[in-house]
Amino acid sequence: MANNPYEVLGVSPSATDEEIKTAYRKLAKKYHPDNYTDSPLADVASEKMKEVNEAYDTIISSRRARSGGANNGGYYNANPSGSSKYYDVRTMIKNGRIADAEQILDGVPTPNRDAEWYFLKGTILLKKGWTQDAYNCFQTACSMDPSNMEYRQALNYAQSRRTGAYGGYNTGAPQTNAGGCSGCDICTGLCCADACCECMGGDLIPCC
Amino acid sequence: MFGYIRPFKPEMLIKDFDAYKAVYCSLCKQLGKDYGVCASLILSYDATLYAILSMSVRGECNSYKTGRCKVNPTKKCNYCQTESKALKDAAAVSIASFYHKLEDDHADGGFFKRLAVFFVKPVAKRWRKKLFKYGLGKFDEIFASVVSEQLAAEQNPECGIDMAAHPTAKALSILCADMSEDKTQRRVLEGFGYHLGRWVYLMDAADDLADDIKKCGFNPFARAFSLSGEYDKEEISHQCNSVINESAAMLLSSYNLIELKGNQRILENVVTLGISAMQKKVIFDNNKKKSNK
Repeated sequence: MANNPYEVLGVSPSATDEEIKTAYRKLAKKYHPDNYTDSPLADVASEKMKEVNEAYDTIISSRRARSGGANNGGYYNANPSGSSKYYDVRTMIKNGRIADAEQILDGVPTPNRDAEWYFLKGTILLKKGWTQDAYNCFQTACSMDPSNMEYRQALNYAQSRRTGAYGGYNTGAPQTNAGGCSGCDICTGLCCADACCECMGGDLIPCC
Repeated sequence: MFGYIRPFKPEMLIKDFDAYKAVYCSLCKQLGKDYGVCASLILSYDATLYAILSMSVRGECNSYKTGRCKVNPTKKCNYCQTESKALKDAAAVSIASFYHKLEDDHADGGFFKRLAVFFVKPVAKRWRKKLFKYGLGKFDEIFASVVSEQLAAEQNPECGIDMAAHPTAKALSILCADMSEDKTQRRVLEGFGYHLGRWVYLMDAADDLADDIKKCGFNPFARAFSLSGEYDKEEISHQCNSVINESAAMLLSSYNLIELKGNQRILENVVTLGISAMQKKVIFDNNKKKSNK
């Protein structure tokens, strides 16, 4: 899709550099690979990201007549360790052959299932959308091999999704109070008003 | 479907709310036109959202005209100007889901529920026949398989949260993928639909949790967290919310990749604020209300 770069960023050609930067950042955040780790749509997202990067580069370089400060590439590449005994399974997952990969994994008898097995199983489940079982698998993988960063990262992503940071309801976030006024607010307000009146010589609440 | 997918009104522009209402009214009219006046009664928010998404993906119905409301003739409503495949499909989805929900209620409802089903079912049957007449039988098949697969999943002793949610999720992924011809977009919509369906199913499960435990009915959360009798409601609410958040995150990331030709603000409101507000209401506020009773 050779789109107009301004349309890609959703800005008008008369937009200022600052507006373009803001629009670019907003889109880059939206399509950032972190939002799509282990998602079956990661390739679509990276395609979009590329489009946005190219559009931003084109605009900036045409405006400055030199290459802009867009940082593209180098975002995401968790290289699987070459010595993995599940090398074939990893390759299948990478190529989108999810059902085949799962069949091979399920063929491994339970006592032989190690941390990597649980990690890969979790990855497959996540691609199928079975997020809860995937989460349990990542937990198992991490408890079996707590030092492995790859497993830890997968668990961390699942955990942050669960907090609602990427959508849903975040119980930890501060509640936006829609102009409410609690009983406490009224009391403090009255006390303050009384104090103000008193220092000016009047009195709002005679008993104090 | 269960009416959980709604926009969050306080953050909506009035023109967006009007557009949302126009689709709602158009769907009501479409139901009446295709299946008889009574069919308008089964109009739902979920089907409305389905219609809006479908219109946006297809780029249908961008202008409205004013007309009189069939249900309340004193009221004036906006309607979509043109005939729309999205609306026809949404009406069919309403009918098919309603009919199969009835079947399901008849199988495991109490006396009064079954009595109600007894009276309503002949009407629903007639609607379903029309569905086939219009050549929209595929929608009936989708929901029929939800009911049978759900039953099979519930009887499976290994059934966890994901397995229980799979039939509904799959149905919505098929429905959403159907909106586009483009290969990549179909994949994106499939992912979106899957997690939207999963989200709806799990929200319903979280909503019914207390009742299901009391009546010893099937509930995926009760089974996954081994709940029976007394349990820590606050703690379990947080756990349910975490599970549901994952689907909310996944559906949002898929949503961002959908190529929309209109109604972006409405849909974005629904998938971000609407979903969040509904989770708060159903999982936390309703539970508190129920336990105070």
